[in-house]
Amino acid sequence: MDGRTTGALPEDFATFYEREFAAIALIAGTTAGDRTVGEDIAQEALARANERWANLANFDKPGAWVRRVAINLALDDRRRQGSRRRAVEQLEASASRVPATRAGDPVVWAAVDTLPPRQRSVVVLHYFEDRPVAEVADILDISVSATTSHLHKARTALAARLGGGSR
Amino acid sequence: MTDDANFEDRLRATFQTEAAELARRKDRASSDDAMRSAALVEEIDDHGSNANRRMLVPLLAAAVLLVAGVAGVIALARPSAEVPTELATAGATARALVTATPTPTPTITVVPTLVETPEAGTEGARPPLPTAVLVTPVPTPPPPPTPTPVPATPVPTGTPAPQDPPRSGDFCMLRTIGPFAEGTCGLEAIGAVVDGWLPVQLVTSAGLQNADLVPVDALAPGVGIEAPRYVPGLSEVTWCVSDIVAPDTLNVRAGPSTDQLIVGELAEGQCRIFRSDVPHPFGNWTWVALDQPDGQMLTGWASSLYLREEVQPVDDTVPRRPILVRAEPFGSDLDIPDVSEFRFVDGTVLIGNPDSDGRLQIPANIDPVGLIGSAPLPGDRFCAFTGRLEAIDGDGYHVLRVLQLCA
Repeated sequence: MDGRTTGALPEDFATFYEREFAAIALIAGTTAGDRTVGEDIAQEALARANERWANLANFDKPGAWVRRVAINLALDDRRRQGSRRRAVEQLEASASRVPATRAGDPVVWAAVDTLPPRQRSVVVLHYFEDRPVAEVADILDISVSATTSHLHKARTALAARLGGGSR
Repeated sequence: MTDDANFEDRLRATFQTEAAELARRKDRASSDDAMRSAALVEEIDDHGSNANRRMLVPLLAAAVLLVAGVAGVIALARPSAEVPTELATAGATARALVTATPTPTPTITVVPTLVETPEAGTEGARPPLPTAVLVTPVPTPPPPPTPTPVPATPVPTGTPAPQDPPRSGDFCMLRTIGPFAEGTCGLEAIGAVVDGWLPVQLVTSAGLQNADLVPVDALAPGVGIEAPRYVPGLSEVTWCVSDIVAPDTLNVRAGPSTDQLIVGELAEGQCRIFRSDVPHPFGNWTWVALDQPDGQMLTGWASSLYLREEVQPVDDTVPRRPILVRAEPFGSDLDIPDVSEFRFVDGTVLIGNPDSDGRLQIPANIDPVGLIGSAPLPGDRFCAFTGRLEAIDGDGYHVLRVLQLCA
């Protein structure tokens, strides 16, 4: 996914940006449950990558670094806003919240949005990017067992809502 | 298996479709930016004025700065990303700011803790408790539609912007050290820890840079300074102690080093621990915070090797109430009596001010458990409130103790 191997010439940031933006926006947006937030976070994560590109370009997987930053931003956004934002959400009643319109199957998005944010991160990294569990764990900086647990719970929940069984 | 395949295929197809749409939106935004610039050029050309033409550059520069400013505001309003370790230390070589290494002074970390309002004097009669008044619920009107902000598109040139907007940074000061006052956030590590001291810098909004060595036990990760509290149904990710064999315990220390004082111990299996997700230059040390049985909060540094994430699905069907206390008016004065309006999820609004001891009477049919709220303060600080049922009197009122936590 990172499209580069150690020993190759470091790619320029513009190429990296063009290739990675949509995927990072999707991952962050899925985690945050909001496309616009995901786009903003992708911009922020990539801007940070830009600042550090002289070092980052020499990493084996600069894309993994940006993904971790983006997911941390998405999770952090929810935690920092924390009780206040969620309280406001509760007070404004769920009926007044307009879910972000996203492309693809709305039933799938509705099911994904019911998952806790960490499970969403795992699901999008695993199913969209086809990353193995160990790699997802590495990006999220959590254990493989925790990742497996997240994935299992997400599968079970999604299968229940989308009509499939879980493995 | 067929069901599984269908379910997974639908997921993949949806993600791919959304990713394609996001790519289109990005290209469209870039194209729109280019068109706007071209339109501006044409407009100035139409006027045919050389003077106007000369204005083009500053106008464009102003437009770029405006967009960058908006992006900066968005970045400021958003929590800082947590920089992986390898990069947090990478900046050190570029900024040689450390000229001497002071001798570390181990001290116990002073952190914002849940502060109960002082007990009333033991002598004399306690004044009557204020009673919250139930007012008619006012339905919350739906928020007016707001235009979707167009995120600023960074120019992918491979070079940093000339003036980067200040961000919230990675660390906050737990006490005043050198030029950095207690509570200051946005400090960035610019080197590695040496003998318990970390070189940090702070870039102010005016672009001024301050740098100094600070002891690691005076720092808390930016995310941790908010001193989170476990609230059932709201706190999604906490951690448990794992892989410790009793009677051994996991030490919580004042700083990220075994040389630092032990300020607490965590037993195997102990959960509801908040852990900073900030990768930092302290190796496997991580900042933790957890509630104590006595109501205080234990904070410090522990080895992340012995912490495992506690998976706790959030049940959105459980009503989270009462949930918000709106503090109004709320300026620099943090006294609890300023809290005047208690708003509950079901629409109930209670008006009342706690007494000087932080006690408030509320109707017994309102469940005070889990009462929380927060109020913003100047300087990116905030106070949170929580309520604790202290007594049930015979008149149909609960006596609620309102506690405040300011960070």
